[in-house]
Amino acid sequence: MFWTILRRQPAHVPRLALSAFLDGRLEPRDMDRAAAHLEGCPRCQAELRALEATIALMRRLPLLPTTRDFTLRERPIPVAPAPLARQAVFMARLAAAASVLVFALFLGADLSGALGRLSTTPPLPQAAPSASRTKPQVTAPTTPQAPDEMTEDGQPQGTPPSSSQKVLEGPQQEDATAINPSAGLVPGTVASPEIVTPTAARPRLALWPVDLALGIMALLFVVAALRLKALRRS
Amino acid sequence: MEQLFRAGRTGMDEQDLITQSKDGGLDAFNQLVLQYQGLVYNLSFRMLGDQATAQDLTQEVFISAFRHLDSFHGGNFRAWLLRIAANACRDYLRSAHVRHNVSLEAMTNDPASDPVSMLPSKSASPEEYVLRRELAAVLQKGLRTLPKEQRLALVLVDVQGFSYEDAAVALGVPVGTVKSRLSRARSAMRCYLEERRELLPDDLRF
Repeated sequence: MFWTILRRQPAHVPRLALSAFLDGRLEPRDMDRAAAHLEGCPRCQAELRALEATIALMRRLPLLPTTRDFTLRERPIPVAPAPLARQAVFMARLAAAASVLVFALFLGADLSGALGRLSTTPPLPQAAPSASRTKPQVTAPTTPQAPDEMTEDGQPQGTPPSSSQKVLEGPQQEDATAINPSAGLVPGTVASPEIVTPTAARPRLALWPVDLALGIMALLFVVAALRLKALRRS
Repeated sequence: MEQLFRAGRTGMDEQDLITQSKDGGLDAFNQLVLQYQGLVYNLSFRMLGDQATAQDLTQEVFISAFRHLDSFHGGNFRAWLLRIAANACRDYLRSAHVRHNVSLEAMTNDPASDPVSMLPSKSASPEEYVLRRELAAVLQKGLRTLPKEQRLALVLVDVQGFSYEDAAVALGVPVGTVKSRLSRARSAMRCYLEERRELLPDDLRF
């Protein structure tokens, strides 16, 4: 540590390093370096003398004789290795930490929508998975814009998301109605876009009572842990 | 004075005394108390600056040591005992009521807790005695301005003459930590004393 200090401040020996220098506790290389610097630096010499004087003064503080006898008259009552109070405080702290963690995890999952997604995802439509796994239904060439949007493997860039993709992206569109693009891509039809509401099929669970209950429980555990600790100290 | 501390260092039958104490031998333990009470009391007094409090703390340290003798599994008994004392001082200083019970003014005005009232003064002239008294009071005040961990390191190494290694065992920290705490404590004391240089003896004035 002192070596780095010395390297950073080559101009003078730092006070903290001087203390270790006086006790011969610097690394040998730092000792030599400090000694060499001290020979030609009046300022560091003055610092060294002041520090030496301080240590000498501290050593002049008398060692006081005891004014009474501290021997024990009788055997002290033995103390249990792990007092009940300490165990109780430890358990309360553990419970508080666990409940806060559970509350935070649950609240985070709830707010991010992960819980709703897991619990309310409806079964996928029969046709959709097979369509997405096999060859995509190419309807784009019938549209006027299709040739410009074709990729190298023949898949149109503007292909609307399949039904399975739509299910995965469902929660992002929960609050808004969506236009079903496939409705307007059937050849020979001029159909108006069909309005669908994805959230209608996936009602979200009301999880706020669980959040509230977990929050209250965590708060109670924390208060109990703090109260127990204060009681133990008193 | 030195005998008080040297007795603790030699301790011919120390191991036997510890073994007997572990078996519940109060007399054996009290011999250990007599060996080390000066050491523990001085550490407590320098840390707390109050005679009565230091006495109470010293008594508590030995009671605690007797209760927890089973946790001593050999090694340096003096360092083990000083660790209990250091922890007791830390706990006491940490407790909230310290500020109300032990104030710096009370310490310096109370003759009973005067740190120099027990100085060997037979060889000293009245003037010299007064100077020593003032100097000791200044040093004790300076100690109280230090953070407790730095104060512990300074008292153990510079006042009580422990090696870095023994102080490290007593404080439960690495030797490097003792070195850095001691450096900071000395530097702080140097600044404190520089502002009161008129009270320093001629040979140590800087």
